[in-house]
Order: sequence, then C-alpha cells, then structure tokens
Amino acid sequence: MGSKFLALLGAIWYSILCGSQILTLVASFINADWAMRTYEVDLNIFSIREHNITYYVFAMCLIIAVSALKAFVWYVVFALLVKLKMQTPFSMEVQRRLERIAFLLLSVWLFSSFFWKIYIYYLAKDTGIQLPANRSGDEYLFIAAIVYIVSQIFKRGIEIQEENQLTV
Amino acid sequence: MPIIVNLDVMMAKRKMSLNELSEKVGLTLANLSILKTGKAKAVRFSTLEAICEALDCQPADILEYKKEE
Repeated sequence: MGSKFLALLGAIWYSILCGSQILTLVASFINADWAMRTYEVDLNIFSIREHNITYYVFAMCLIIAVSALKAFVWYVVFALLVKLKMQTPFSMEVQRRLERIAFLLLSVWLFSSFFWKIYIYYLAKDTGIQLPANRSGDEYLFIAAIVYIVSQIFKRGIEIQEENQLTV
Repeated sequence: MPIIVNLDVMMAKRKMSLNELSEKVGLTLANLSILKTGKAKAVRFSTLEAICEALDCQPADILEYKKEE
C-alpha cells in the first residue's frame, strides 16, 4: 500500500514539474519577466533565450521530455504495483511492465545525458555559451540495465513456473 | 509437439472414464485433462507408472512419437 502511494506521489510530483516547465516555456514568449519568476525555472537556460531562441526552445524541450518521461516511469511503476499480487508475482503482465520501465529509464538517460551533452557541444560551438554538463542522468542507464536484467530473470522464472504447472 | 498422448484411446479401450481414472491414479481432473489434451510439458515416471497400472498397459500404448512435418 505504502509503495503504491509513493509511486503515485512520484508520478504526480513529476507531472506538476513537467506542467510548470511547459508553463514557463509558453509564458516566456508572452511575458518573459513573469516566466523568470515561475516555479522550477532554470536561469542558466533562461539566459540562452537572449542569445538564441532556437537553442532555448530545444533546451526546454529536452528538460520537459525528461520530466514527462520520469512522470510516466512513476506511473508505470504504480500500475505495476497495482497489478502485482504477492501470492502469484510471476506473471507475463508484470514482466512486460518491468521491461517497459527499463526502456523508459533508458529514454530518460538518452534525453537527460546523451542528448544533453550533444546539445551543450553545439550550443558552445554556435553561441559560445558554456552550460554545466553536470545534469544528472548517467545513473539512469545503470538503473535501466539492472531493471532489464531483473525483467529477463522474471521472464525465465515465468517459463519455469509454466513448465512446472504443466508437469503431471 | 511430436510426442502424442494416446490416453483417450487407451481409456476408450478399457472403457474407463476420466473421473474413474482420476480416482485410481490419484491425479486431479485438471491435470489429467492437461495430459489428455497434449498440453503437458512433462510427465513424471510415477504418474506414468500409475496410469499404466490403472489402464493395464505399457508406456508406449500411451505415448507415441510422430515426426513433425
């Protein structure tokens, strides 16, 4: 019960974060001064807007995509915990959801680390603006790999369970 | 699967119902049904022995190998 609540809380938290970032992006085109004071605004990225609007929009899109993906990961974790029955935990449904979580975490890594580093490189090359490359994200690759391995072990467990059930 | 279970043929020859066989062998109807319909992935020697004893037959009368085309 507690873990389900925590997962739901995570999904809601990241949804709010994603929503506020979308609001900041939209508001920055209407009223830049007001947008600067909104929740979760990154002033480093906001300063890019003065130099190059395309790079600013691209950076915001990357940040929004990461938040949206994190919200979705938490939602899938919540859905997994709802489906999970501790009496019969080995089911194909749970395995599929675990695999989906692994791929979603990989996407989080792609957007928050891989694409971000490429973005920083081109931003520095074209505009000379140096953004810090320390946006956390590399750990998502590690977690994705672990979740994927667990999902594959789960898959084998289900196969063994099925074989056992069909042994007379 | 190339292994065919001829349990229904032997049961018909011995004029034995699934319920009767289930009682004699000590297997549940669900498990016997899995075996009869060919869904089983493995058969224990103890189960095979009990079925052979109940139907008075040999394992080869129940199990048959047919090459897949």
